[in-house]
Amino acid sequence: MKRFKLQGKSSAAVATVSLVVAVVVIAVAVYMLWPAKPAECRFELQASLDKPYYRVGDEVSLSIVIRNLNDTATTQTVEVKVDDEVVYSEDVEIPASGSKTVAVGFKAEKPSTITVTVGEDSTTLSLEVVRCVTDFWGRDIEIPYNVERVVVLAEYEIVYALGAWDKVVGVSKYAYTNPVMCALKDINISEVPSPGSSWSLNVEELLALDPQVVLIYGFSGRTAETVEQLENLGIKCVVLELNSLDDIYRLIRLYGQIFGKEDRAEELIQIMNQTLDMIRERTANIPYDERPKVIHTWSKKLKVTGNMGVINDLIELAGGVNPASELEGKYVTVSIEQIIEWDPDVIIIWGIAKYGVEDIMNDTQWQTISAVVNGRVYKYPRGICTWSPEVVVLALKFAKWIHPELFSDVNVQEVADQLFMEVYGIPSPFEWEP
Amino acid sequence: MKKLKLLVLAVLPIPAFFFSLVIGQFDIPPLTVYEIFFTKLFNPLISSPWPPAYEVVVWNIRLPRVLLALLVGASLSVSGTALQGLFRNPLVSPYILGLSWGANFGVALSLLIPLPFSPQFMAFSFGLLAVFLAYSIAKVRGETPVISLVLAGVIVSAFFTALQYIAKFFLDPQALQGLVYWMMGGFYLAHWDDVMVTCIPIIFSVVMLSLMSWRINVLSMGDAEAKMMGLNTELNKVVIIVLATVMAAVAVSVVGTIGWVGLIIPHLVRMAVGPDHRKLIPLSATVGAAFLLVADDLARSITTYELPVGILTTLSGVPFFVYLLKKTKGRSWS
Repeated sequence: MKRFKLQGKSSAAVATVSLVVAVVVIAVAVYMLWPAKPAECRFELQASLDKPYYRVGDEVSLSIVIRNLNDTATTQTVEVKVDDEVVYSEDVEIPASGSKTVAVGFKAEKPSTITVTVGEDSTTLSLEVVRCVTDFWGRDIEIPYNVERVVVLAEYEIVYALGAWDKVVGVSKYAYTNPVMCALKDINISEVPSPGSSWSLNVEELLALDPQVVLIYGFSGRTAETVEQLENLGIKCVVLELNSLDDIYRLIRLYGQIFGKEDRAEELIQIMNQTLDMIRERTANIPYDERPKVIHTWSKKLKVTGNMGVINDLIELAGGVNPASELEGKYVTVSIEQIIEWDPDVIIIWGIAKYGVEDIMNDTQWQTISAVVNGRVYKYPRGICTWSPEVVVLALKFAKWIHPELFSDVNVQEVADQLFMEVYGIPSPFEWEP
Repeated sequence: MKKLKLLVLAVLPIPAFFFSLVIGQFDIPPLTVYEIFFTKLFNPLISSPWPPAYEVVVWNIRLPRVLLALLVGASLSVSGTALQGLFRNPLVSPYILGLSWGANFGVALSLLIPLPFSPQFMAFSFGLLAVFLAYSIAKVRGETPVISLVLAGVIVSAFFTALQYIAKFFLDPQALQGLVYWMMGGFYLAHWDDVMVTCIPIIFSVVMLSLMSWRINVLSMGDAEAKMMGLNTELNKVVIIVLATVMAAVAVSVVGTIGWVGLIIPHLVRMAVGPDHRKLIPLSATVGAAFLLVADDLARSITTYELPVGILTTLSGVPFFVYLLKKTKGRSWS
């Protein structure tokens, strides 16, 4: 009985003691293992950007919050570096047990790493930057800063001239027959896949090429739908619609932006201006009423260039007057009587037209027109693109046709070869002087 | 009075002709136009006292265009009249048997693949092919019931429409524009060559169908009645269909598909002179010729641009048919 009692007493005591010991041990262990606040860490540093990403040229606003954990106020040097460039460096006083917010502003230029250093602490953020381009429909489009995969359904040769061909993963089917593309030495255009053209696009094939950006013409009535469809799939579309000589400059600059080749784009424009300035110098002072009347005919003899488009600008630049510019549009079908009434001095035929100089010279209906009487009907080389740098060669050829006396010293072939060499690194694939 | 009406309808193309000669962008005094026309007509080798451009405009531009419009107008409406009489169906036009869609496909094909044939030839042969197909589909036990012929025309048209869309898909935009312009039809490219090519088959067919017009009268009473009267119905039908189709195909191949002329004019003339084809056929030739000529005058003078005349004929044809439908209260013509 006593033994039992004793036993009972002692077991209760043991349990109490061991509980106390356990609590002490755990307390000690927790005390020992609790992460000790390092003596040297006296700040808490937080840095944040006001937007998830920026467009090139946007103002970046970086805010840095420094919390002082010490009992005493202190002065620290705050330094902000974008990549390796210091954009902010100042001494900042931080009150005791308080916090200080520092706002830093700078311009976003390219994707980079931001390093914020306060005393011996530092933190890094990445700065996301996209390019923003404005297409010919006036839409602002954000594209990756470094585009890697682009499908080019329009003006592929400019991409090559910019030196960005390695970014092209697909082209328009018309590239396969483009004389410039076929003449290039270091690429084999027929090996580049094609999802069709701006007018008939196979969206599935386009998706298979996995492009980030698609460059597409806006002339087709269905472009808006296609663009919407592609943009819903996360593919950026840049729509191009060229209606004048100035639009070519705009296009080259736009392509320069997209591919990050702005300097080369300005270089191409420089190359174009050399020839254009030479033409302007010689033709600009011809009085309006002394300028020959020039018409340009498209796929049919009676389809002429109206007041819109590059060709109309070229005629004017080359010192001619386009009588059809009284009519609205790029392609205008008129009657033969209208053409006889205009009585053009020079007729220039579209390079791709299925009829030639002979077809107009031998047509009984055209026989009284001055251009036919004087044998001044011309056709330019097939496949020459009017929306590329080589358009200036065409301008020069126009000028020489319209004003042979002013340009007798100019050899168009030589100018063309030099320009093609500078732009594409090949001599002109077109014959300019018969 | 009735004789006067017939006479007026018969000579309608003559005032239309002289009126059309003075219409055009190029400004020539009307009297000079007639002077040039008659001088050249009776004395072609005379050295011209007027500017050379005048002579080219009158003789090489306006005259072929006017003549071509007359020929095509006559061709389409005579073809329509003959086929409507033959099929006893007011909806029949030269295009109902698939001619226009076959011709369109022929042109699309010639734009798509380089062939040694001209688009005109392709239009002509595919137009005929389409009608031939429709005729063979419709032929049941040596006979061609009207309803199956019309249905076969719908089938063949649908088939060639589909083929043409395939061709269109592969055409580049510039060539496509050419095709669209061709499909709408127009005389703006008219040359003497076109007049030469079309005049013989069209005049031949108009004369032949005028001579056969009493047979069309008999056939229009129905196959059984015609047989009872001792007419070889199938042979006559084939000859009439071939003549009507060839003349329309020739017209279509040169100027494109000009709609509704072959549908409106037969109705108009039938309303004016009654159902006797001996009067109907020659009069629809003259009225159709005058109608298309005036439509083309409008097409070339409304704007500085050239409007396709097919748009005008279709636009004027639609309200006319609505009127006709309301007036007959949907009852078929008999």
